[in-house]
Amino acid sequence: MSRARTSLVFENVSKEFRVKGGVKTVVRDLNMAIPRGRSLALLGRNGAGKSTLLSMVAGALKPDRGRILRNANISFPLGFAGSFHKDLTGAQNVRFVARIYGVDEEMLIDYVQDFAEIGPFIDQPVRVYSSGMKARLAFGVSMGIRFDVYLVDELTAVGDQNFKKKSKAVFESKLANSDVIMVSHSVNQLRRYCDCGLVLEDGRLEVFDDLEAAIERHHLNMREVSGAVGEVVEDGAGPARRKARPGRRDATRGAAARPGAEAARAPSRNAT
Amino acid sequence: MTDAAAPRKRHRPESPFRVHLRVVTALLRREMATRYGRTSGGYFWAVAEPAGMIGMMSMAFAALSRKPDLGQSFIVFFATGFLSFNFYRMTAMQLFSTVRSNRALLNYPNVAIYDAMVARLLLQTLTNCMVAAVILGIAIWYTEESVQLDVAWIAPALGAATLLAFGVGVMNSVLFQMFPLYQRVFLIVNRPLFIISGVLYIPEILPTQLRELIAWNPLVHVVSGFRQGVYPSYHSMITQLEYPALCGLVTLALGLLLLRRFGERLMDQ
Repeated sequence: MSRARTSLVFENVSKEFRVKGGVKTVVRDLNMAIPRGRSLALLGRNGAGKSTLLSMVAGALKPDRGRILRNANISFPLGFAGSFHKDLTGAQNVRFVARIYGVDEEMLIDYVQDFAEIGPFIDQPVRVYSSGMKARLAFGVSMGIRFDVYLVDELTAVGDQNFKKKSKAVFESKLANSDVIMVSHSVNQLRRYCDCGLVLEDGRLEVFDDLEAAIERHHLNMREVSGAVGEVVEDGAGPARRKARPGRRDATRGAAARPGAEAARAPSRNAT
Repeated sequence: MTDAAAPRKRHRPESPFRVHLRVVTALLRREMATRYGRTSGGYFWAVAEPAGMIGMMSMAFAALSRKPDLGQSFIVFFATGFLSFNFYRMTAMQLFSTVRSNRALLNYPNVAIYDAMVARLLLQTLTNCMVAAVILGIAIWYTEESVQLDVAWIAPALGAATLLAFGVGVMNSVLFQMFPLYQRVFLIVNRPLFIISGVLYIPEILPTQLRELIAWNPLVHVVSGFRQGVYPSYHSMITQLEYPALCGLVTLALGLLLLRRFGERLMDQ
């Protein structure tokens, strides 16, 4: 196929925040195409704007300039429960998400009820749920819909040991066909799920085909700031899934940087 | 464990219009289920609230004077005024709070703030139509007022009111975020709006100068236009429904521009 598939295209995307005593730049003139089939770790020090960038991809935040094209079915942030209306039952809330994504409502409800292990509570209003039940329901919804790209802002485990095990297994099985864009404090987690990396620093997003190179760059950034405390913690265990393809490209300069060989500009539909 | 369901088309994105349609429908049904939430009675209140207002006003005015400006019945006279006025007020109010109550839903890449606005507009307009039909129907039947409903006046009047509400609603949902002071002033000024909108009287009874002054209020045209569609004997001197419709289009264009330029960014905060 001459036109390779991309999941996301950033076109001249800029975003800044006004903060006390100045302006905080998250990204400046970001041009980038993210191909399907790659899972990205998003690295950067505290406050660099990783979560903001992820929220922009989800659509909760809008760029100041430029636009983000979504050419794939992008998930909402994994385990997002903020949309649950407390007066609606679990089933009604799940049904709402099913409708938004055009998936079969009853199938999704059955799946989530089973996955979240909440039994008859599915027909109770969410306001009576425990926080654990709510989290399990939210995670179940994320797992019940098949997305092309999962957005993950800190993969936090919910539930007891068995549930954690099950969630992890299901999430990993999803990644056979889906990609992930992940923000995490745990290098171990990033190594497990991602194969390339983005490093966000001072409004510039550097693209690394090799995750280890990205992690190295990130550690370097941390050291440049004297006294800065490393945010990413090495937590043992080697890489589970990575491709040794060193090399980096600067995404903030030039046109679409291409982390994968197949990246291409996508048709301009589904603009935000 | 298997997937519950896969979106219908996996790789090729659906047309934005179809997504919009689906999301609006989902939001509409969600709003219907939550609007009256935990209050018992639910949609009963959508009818009861304006009905109570009309009833009280009618009793008060019936004690003061013998006959309303049009027809024989205060109930029908105030009902025509309040109900057409509410096509603007209720819809505009709903739109003002769209951003606040739907912000969390923007975390779904499929959902845009426009979807939420369209959903609220549709739901409130449907509610308005239902409420108006019920109250006016009962009022006319009960009072045996002689009316002749003329859709050629009623539909454009209510349409203009809805368009105006949509425009003002979209514009203000941005401006309220930008200027909280403006929000306060606007809401205070709006409270007695029905007094200068000709709900309680017809503009023709006013002295010429005053009449020309309140004719600048687009809602005066909505109310008098609606009454022309109910009272066959009423031929208003001032009604020009093009005016509220034009105000609606101008505010809507301005609102969409503001929303595009600043709005969605302001919603971040």
